[in-house]
Amino acid sequence: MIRLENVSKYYKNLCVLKDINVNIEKGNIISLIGPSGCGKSTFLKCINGLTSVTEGKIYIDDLEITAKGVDLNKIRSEVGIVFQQFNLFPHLTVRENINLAPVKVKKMPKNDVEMQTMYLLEKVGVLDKIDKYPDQLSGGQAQRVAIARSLAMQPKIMLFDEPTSALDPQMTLEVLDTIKDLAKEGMTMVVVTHEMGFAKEIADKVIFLSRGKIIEEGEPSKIFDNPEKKITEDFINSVLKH
Amino acid sequence: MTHWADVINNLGFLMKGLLITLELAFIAILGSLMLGTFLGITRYLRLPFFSLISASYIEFARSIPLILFIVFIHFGFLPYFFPGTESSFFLSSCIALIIFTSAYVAEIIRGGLNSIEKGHIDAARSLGLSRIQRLKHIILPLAFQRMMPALVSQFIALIKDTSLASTIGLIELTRAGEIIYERTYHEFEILIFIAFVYFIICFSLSRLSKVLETKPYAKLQSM
Repeated sequence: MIRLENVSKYYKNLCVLKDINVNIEKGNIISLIGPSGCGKSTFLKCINGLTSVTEGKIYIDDLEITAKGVDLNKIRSEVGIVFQQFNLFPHLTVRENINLAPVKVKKMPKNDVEMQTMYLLEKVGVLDKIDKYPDQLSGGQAQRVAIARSLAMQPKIMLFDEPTSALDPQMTLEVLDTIKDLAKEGMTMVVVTHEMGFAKEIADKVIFLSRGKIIEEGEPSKIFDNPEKKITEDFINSVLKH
Repeated sequence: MTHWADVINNLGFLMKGLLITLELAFIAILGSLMLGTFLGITRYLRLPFFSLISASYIEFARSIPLILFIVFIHFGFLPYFFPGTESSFFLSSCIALIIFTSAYVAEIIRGGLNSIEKGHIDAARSLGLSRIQRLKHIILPLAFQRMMPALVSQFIALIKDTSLASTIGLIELTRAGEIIYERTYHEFEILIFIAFVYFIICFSLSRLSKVLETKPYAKLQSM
């Protein structure tokens, strides 16, 4: 479903991603781990066209999104992304945050959008906050609204960029449960996370990234319990200690 | 011996001047807001050709004293390009104020637009909103809230700057006062009164901006 072929990304002379080859099948859940600054966020931003690649090709459903003249806005609307800092629009209510893109981008009828918004908020468990502003929500609620906002575009794939790093443990659980529900429904996902237990539980495949390169990839049990490379082992030990 | 009677006896005349001041300020605020927004957005979007034009215009308008604009437009520009028609004091002052203030407004708008967190813009992009949609629904509304205080203080400056139109002979508040004390030689009371009127207008505007500035988004819905 999504294929990255020899993808590299440079900022001026700084190499952020180096020769990445990944194949994500429909319904796959990929967990991306690695030290900060290793290129995880850039990896996600390349997939939904928020940032361009320097070399290589990315395909979504056999459409090359790195080709010239591709309608990036359309691609972005098919790839949902959830950010560490939620990034809800502070001047819009929860309802308006979620309605905006389906109405303006997808041109869906207003009634359908309203129904869908209610359904999604119910699903992530914050329907009672529908007319609140983002600054009236807790972090966990805000992140679940952000997830609902992405889902409202009915994306083919969801990307999560450290969705729980800005949350305290209780709220982390709320958000992780929401993501697990999505996993059960068969949503294709790429999750950047430091929650190793979570990654182990839901991921089909774990990719360990360091300094822009894929060091190791495989099933969670292999990466977490029997890593082949010393650097992977050191990273996992350092994270588990905390 | 005070001469407050000068103020009272000429109140009608002074109020006519005030009306001109307010009209001039109002039109110049609207004009500079429109022109400034246009210039600010062109610079923010970095449109190749227009951006350069805007930047040059802004640098030019900010580097020349306002009084020169007023005098030049009234006695130089308008008579030169539109000979035969008599220059109107009001029109000249208005054009000069708009040229001058729009440059500052443009910079405020550009700064406000640039101050929007990248996260919000990324979120809007990731939802598939086009550049224009992002500007209209996300960036401009957010930026406008932040620009309010700076815009208001720029417009307060503009209101006071209208007094410079007195130099070419427009009978606004300041010139109206001058005309009175040039006849009576009692400057003190008239000047105090005029200062007081400017103060009331500008201070009220400044209070209004404080109220808007401290309103969080959640509270806006109950307004």
